[in-house]
Amino acid sequence: MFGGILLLGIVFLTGINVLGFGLDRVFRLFGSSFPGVSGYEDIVTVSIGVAALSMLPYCQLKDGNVAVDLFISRAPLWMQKFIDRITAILMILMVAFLLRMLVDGTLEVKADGDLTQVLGIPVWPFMCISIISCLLWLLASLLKLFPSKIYEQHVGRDDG
Amino acid sequence: MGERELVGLAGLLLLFILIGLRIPVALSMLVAGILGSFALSIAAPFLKFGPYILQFKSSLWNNIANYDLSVVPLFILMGFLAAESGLSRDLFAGFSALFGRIRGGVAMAAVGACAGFGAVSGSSIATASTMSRVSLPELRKLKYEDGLATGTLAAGGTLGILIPPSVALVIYAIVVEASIVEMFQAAILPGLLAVIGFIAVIWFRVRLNPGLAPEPEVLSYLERKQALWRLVPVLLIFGTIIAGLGMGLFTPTPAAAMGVLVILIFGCLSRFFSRTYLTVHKLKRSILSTAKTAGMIYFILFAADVLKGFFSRSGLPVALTDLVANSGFDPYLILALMLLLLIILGCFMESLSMILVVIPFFWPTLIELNGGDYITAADAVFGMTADQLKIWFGVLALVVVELGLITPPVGLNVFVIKSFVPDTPISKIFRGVMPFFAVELFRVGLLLLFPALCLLLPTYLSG
Repeated sequence: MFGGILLLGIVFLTGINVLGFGLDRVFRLFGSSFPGVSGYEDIVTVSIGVAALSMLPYCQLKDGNVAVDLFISRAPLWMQKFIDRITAILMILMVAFLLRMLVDGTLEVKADGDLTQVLGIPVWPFMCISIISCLLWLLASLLKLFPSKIYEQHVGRDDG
Repeated sequence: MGERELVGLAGLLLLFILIGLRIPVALSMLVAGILGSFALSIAAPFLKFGPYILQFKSSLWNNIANYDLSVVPLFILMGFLAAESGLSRDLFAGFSALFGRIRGGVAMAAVGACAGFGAVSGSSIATASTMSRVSLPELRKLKYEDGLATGTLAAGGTLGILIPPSVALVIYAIVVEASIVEMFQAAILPGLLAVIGFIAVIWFRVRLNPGLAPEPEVLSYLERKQALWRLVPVLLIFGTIIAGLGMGLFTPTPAAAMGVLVILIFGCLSRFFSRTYLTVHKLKRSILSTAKTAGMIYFILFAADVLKGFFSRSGLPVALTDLVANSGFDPYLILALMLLLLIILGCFMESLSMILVVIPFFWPTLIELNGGDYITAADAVFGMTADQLKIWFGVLALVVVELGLITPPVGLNVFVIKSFVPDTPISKIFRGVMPFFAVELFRVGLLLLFPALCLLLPTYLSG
């Protein structure tokens, strides 16, 4: 939900910006000007970074990552379960690795004092929010390793 | 091929094995990319693994916090909101009023509605499933023959991937570093060609065998007028985006955001004149569906970047390009083989991941075959510059990916339709799809013979 609300935020910000752009054209006819949202691209870039990373745990929970099922659904059940287990382990390893790297990267960005291009806002606080998303992604991946009954009880219900 | 290229080839093989084992495509790409890079550091010690791994400190954030990519979740949200706002129903009613007087008109209306919904949704599978939910019960109630009804929707669903604005076009443009706006402009005529072709198929089939469709029901003037009004919101959304982009009022991200805003306003106002309108519950459902789909795409995009890094380090794309370029085969034959491979892969592979895995291999080869990055149109093998080739090949690639979605025996769209009509045999749906398939092949031929169909609008609109 958090990512979606950020997306809606971008939508409304764009609406304001386009309105400002339109008004500016009108004001210019009278020799004046109307400012749009300054640093629009900066705001969208960091917001989309935070929003997109916050979508990854939900996608993981809802089995949203596409896979190609050519033969495996016809394989014995034990083999399917084995492959699902391997998939879950691989996912945990990869997400844990990405989390670790993101933490290191955030510390580096903070130490370097990296700022956004136009507004000059520090980038690291946004990366910190993404670390939380990554942590949730790891938790979502760990849940996949649990027996299906526990998983179904906790997250298997459709939010819709 | 040297050791490095062989490691690259082994990485490619590993990727296909992992994908074949039903491991998610993004995870397969990530594992193949990282393990492949590790193997490379052994085969070629100067390609050290340590510095490579340290790149990941910034690569996840840099890949995802990317302004150009922000258009992707916004277009996805626009599609889900359109489905929840009753836009699909309005489109079907509007086009039914438009084609209502012709025998087979409701099936033609389904094609028109698919095109309209495909423009907003940008996804073929979503278009096929949403429009089936809306129009299949109506087609069956009116006693349209099952093969014609299901075939129409399976084929109509494929329009989602090409008719702009489309997420697949955005991803392709990002992969080959083309202009998103020009890709949108290029896809308009081929998309319209498909709509005309599909409508012609229905017209001919019904003319040859009138039993396939019932006598048309004549609507009163008032009913027709009311139904036609329901087309206005889609025209407004499509117009806002395409005209805004074409006239340089917006770049893609603001255009997508404005599209979402128009649908939000339309969805909320619908409560005053329609039974289907956007509620808070539906908005929440759209947001959650967007999170699931956009999360999947972002993960694939990031993993594809990791994989691309590995392949570049291995030198495999360059080696394959040299191999193909020096093979002595006719460049058009190689292009045809590439398209054939895309059709085959498109039968069972998700279109976005396919574009991300395959296009980075095909694109450098095509450029090389054409005569390099800086060749003039007069000297080029395909008779066009590298930038024009990007556009032409992109449209061709997406058209054949569409074709894969209805190719027997595994076309994904056909299976989507089947889930709505469990009592109709899959063979009957495939039989119903075949005339549309033939028209699609004809369209590929036309686009191959007349690249101007793709290049005309971008050339004209960008001056």
